[in-house]
Amino acid sequence: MVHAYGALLVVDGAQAIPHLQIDVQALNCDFYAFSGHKMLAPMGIGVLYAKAAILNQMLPYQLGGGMIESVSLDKVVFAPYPEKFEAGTPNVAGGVALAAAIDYLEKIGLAKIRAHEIALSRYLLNGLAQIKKVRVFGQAAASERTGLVSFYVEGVHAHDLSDFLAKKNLALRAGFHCAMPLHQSHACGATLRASYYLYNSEKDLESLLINLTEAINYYG
Amino acid sequence: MDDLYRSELMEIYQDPAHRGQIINPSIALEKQNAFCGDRLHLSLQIKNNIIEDAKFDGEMCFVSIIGADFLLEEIIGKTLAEAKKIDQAHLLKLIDLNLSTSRVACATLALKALQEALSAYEKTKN
Repeated sequence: MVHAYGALLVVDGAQAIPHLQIDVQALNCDFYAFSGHKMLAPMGIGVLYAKAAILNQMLPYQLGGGMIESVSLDKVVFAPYPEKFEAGTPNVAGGVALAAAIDYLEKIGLAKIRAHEIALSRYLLNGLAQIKKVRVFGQAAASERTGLVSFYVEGVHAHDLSDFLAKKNLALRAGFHCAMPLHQSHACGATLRASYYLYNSEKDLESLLINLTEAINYYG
Repeated sequence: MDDLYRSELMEIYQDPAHRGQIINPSIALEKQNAFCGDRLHLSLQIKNNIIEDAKFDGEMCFVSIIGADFLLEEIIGKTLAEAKKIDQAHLLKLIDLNLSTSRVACATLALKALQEALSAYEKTKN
């Protein structure tokens, strides 16, 4: 539909790529961007995929070393992509680490990781449903979630809960999660977000449920 | 639990002495913490350059409530000049909590509101 109107399709895939098998050609997107730190790579590295025809047409957004074919006083010929977009000193360590992270995830197998996190989502959703005053944000079932659940507790501030849980070695994000209007539309304050991945186990979530109950009793 | 949730603070959190709104205040304003959506309403009663009464209200977390209640306790009875001198370091020392960087913003929400209220009040007088 985007293409029918002559527009380009840009996908922010940072949230999907660690969890789902992504095929940019099947998606037929023009751009697909993701960051490394959501898939076990360090911060400061990411990928911007674009179709070859678009990359050929695009001009560099940044100038610097290593991006030209030739320069004279009145003319410049840029190097072919990707070099023309890689001005200056590249983040070599980040690139190597991202490649290692991708190899690592593929070796384990994305399908296996996916099954693991769906099982964790199911466990967490069931557990949260049994704690009084907890309200889960969104209706998505375990199989529709990419390893996270946002929720809030009636009458207890999300930041107070996240501080309490942090002291029990449980790291949850508290706040609006870059979606303030969505929170306003639900007429609630900040929410808590539990996110988990291949390195988490049911034991971690069990600890969350126990300590969350303790925190609610404490403030209640 | 550690010092962040000392029992005397828990009592203040549950029933802060300075919670409420002054009817016909000399100045009142609302301040929001964009990080978490906390909303604080501050009202001051000022007479002869002295803060006779101060109240806060709103939807706030534990740390914001503690910060607001300690701050108002500190400024009631003080002159405007004295109240203006209270800075972040002073307030953090008063509440004596071991806060992470992100939660300093919670503790100082009332202080920011006070500073804005005092300069707004001065403008109405000049």
